[in-house]
Amino acid sequence: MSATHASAPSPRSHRLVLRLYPRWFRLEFGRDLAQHIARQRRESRYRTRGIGQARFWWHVLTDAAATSLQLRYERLSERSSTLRNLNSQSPEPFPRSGVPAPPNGEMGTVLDSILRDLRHAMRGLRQNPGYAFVFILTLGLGIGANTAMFSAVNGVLLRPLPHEDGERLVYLRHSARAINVENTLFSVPEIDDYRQGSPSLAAVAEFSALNFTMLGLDTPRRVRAGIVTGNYFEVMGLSSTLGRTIGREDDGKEASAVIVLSDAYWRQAFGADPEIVGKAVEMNGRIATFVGVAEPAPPYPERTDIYVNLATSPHHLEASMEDDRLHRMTEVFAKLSATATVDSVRAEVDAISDRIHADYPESYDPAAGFGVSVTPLKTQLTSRARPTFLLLLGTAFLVLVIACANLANLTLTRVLRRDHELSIRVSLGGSRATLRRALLIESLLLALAGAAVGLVIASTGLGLLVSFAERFTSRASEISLDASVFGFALLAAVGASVFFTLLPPLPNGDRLGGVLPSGARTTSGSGARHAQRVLVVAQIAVSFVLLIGAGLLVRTMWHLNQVDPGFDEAQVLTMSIPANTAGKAPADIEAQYLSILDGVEALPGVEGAALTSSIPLTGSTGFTTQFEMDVDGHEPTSGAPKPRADFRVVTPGYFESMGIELMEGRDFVTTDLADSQGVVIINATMAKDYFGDRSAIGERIAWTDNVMRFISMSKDFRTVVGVVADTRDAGLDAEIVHTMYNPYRQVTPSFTGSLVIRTTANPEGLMPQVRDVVHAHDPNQPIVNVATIADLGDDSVAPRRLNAMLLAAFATLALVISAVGIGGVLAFSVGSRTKEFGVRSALGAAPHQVWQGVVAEGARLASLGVALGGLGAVFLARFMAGLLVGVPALDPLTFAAVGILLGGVAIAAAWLPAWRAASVSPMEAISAD
Amino acid sequence: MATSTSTDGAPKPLTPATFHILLSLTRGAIHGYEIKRMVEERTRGAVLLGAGTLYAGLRRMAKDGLIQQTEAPADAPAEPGARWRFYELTPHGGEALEAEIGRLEADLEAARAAVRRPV
Repeated sequence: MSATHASAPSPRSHRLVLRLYPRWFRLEFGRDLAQHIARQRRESRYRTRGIGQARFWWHVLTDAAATSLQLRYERLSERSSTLRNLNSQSPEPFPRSGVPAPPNGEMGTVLDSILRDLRHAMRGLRQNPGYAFVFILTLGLGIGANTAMFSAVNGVLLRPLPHEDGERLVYLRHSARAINVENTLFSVPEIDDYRQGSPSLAAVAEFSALNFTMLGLDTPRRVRAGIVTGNYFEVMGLSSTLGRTIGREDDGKEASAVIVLSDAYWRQAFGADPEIVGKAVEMNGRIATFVGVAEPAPPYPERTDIYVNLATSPHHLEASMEDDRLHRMTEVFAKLSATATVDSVRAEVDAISDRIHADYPESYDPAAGFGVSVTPLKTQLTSRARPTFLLLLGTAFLVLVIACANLANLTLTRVLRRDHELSIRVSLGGSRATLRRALLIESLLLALAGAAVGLVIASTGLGLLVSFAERFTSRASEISLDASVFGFALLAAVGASVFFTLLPPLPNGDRLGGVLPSGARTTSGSGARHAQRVLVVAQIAVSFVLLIGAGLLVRTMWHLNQVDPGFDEAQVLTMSIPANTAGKAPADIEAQYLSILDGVEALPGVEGAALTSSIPLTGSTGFTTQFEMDVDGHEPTSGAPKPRADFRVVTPGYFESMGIELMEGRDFVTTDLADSQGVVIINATMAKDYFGDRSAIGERIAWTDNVMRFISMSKDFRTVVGVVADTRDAGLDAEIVHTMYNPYRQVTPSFTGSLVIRTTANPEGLMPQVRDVVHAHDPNQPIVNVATIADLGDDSVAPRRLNAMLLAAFATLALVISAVGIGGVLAFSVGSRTKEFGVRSALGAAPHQVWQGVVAEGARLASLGVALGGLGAVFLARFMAGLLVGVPALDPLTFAAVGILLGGVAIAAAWLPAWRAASVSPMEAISAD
Repeated sequence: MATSTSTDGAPKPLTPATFHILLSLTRGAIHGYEIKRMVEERTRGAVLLGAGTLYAGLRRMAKDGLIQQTEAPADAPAEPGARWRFYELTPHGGEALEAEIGRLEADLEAARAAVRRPV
């Protein structure tokens, strides 16, 4: 007997096991238990890494759980009855009839036998750790996935808005659909028309977003500001958690500048300091005072750091803002009057639109398809998330269906397998009710363990889901673990296992056939076996549907990875350096930008640098940069919308720095100045659409959009001097649009502000020097959105990638569960037909014939499942069409590949049982019973 | 023990675990782990005693007067740093074991007779 380690203190994990025992028992036996467990761990069968250790912990933990349960009960009954014979209540697997009831009455009997069953179930599971493991894990994954997904859906789609009276809030959107402008925003005169003309709207609030620089704090801060009318908070039903909100007294040009912090920014930037209220900062050359903190609410249409009154924004005080029907930069929120419905508002708004379109034809090109939509705010907030979330919820639900089917199958198999044992018990006098109860308790025990695992999975997964949801909706922060759905998933799982515990017929007491050597081995009918096959087919069908969904999304991602963005993604660093324009002349700002650019170009490790009006791949920033233009010699088709192109401003060297190919003509040069000839560079698609195969160089194009006067651009013709390759500026999954680049010196500088730098080495390593260069010019200059182009490309497809990954994970899970299902059912079928295979082999059947028979059975189940799943997949694919890029919904490649994969897995799963069947010898068959 | 017989007065069967623990103690005082080891060896692993099951059983058997705690025997192998509780049979435990062996023999005989009878 080796005793060398007996004195070593027991490890922490062993001490934790001891904690499972009642304290009084630990006090008495703790030392022996600890020494015992330590010795046990060194036994040879537990010594192998992995399996051995798992076995050790399984044995120790189940033993501790079962014993502690029993000890606690014993202690209770010891107290209530000192006369009890403790030996007699030691549990027996199935109580025999005729054993006298314990002396403490009815309750005692029931408790007693339930505890006995519990202990027996624990023991049974200890002997079948594989079964218990598969059951608990399958159920845990099913419950976990559903609880997490439904919690997300509930938090985002179902729960009421935090706004007071939020159900009556609507969002108005002004679109020009025919020219693909989803949100063209409203001008103040337009808003006044709708406000006065629609009695169904009780109140109309205005919101527009701009970037401001806040000075006077420790560092200059670039903030996203929502400029709102005095009724904004009242209409939105939001109050303040500190100080006050912006009110009607803050309206008007003469009002003093006030700032209300958003809850998130208050916490992030000021550490939730309540002292901030009353402090003042300098913004846009004015002194603005913090007056309060707004209550948390999902931000829409975009996240803003602060809210300010109109008087804070010089832009909003300009005359054109109030009078110009085309000065569109405002979002509109409204509250329905008490009697109004969304439909009544829609009718009124449509009538007003028709009227103003007729009254001001110069502002509404009929071909552009102007129109105003009215949407409940809650719907609007979640419109992007809805399809994705419903898809994932459906997916998680299907996983639960598969999991439950598999659990039912496992339970059925286990009951059928124990047929023999159960027959003996019945013939020895155990009542069938007792058997049922024992099986039931076992199922419930497993279901509870599975639920616990599911809860852990759900709470772990929820954090991931919240960050996922943030990409789709601003309501993500409202997601929390949902108890009701956990309850539902638990009930579904328990229900399934209970149902299938009750389904299989149990042996009859009067039939002793089961124990006699000559008797038929099985008593449970073909009904249960049929049920097993139906379950397997269902699992395969559902797996097929899920795999198609995942396959289509993975194909979409694959397609996007192949997409050529039009520029070189390697080693380009980008950032925004938004100028603080207050109190600076445009020429000074322009000079400062160029000087910063010179400084950056001179840095070691910089291959090239340029300024641009917008960083590629960052998507739409909320307002369109598409403007109307006129190509010389091209008469616009009457009735068609006026031609438009994306407006870009760049410095010479931009295309080279970004690795955009110059296909024809020249780049901008430093001599393209405000007073020299107006020039532009266009992208390849635009050149081809307007000039075909002919060279575009020397052609003339003018910007003709009405908004040109706000940016002081002339509507003169400009000469095309170059054609560059197409780029996907709005994201890898975006369409290519006509794009026209303008030289920096020929446009007012307010449009510039972003820097792209091509480096020879690690782009991020350059950042400190770049910051020094910028701050040498203006220590108050913020630098934001620093990222490499490669990161931006990744980011632009991140939601799709996450989508694909989640769905693929669910589908893989489904595939594994189904494979276990097929394999399990066939293995069981083979096991119970040992005699048949033996006889066939004795009658001269070759092993491969037997083998083929079993594999064919697996293939039959699989093809039936695939056929049924194909029908479901067609529906799913149609639903998913909007989420796909470059892949048709009924993509034959995906359908074929998934069919082959599933068929292959089914045959692989059938392999082992088939091999087992083929190797049955006649002798083995005879001795099988 | 008053209640170790069933209503008709015949000795009530011991559980397999109790039986094997008693059997292990016939060779003298030993500690828990040694009992477990001997039981597993004797039954070739058919009766496995988890730590909790074992000590809960020992506690119950001591309460029933079948076994009692005792000093470590002089010939016990030295285990530096380890301190075990040792157990030995009580006279009552010895009787219970004898009774169980008798019961098993009777059962076995009845079973053999039943099997030899033509079906």
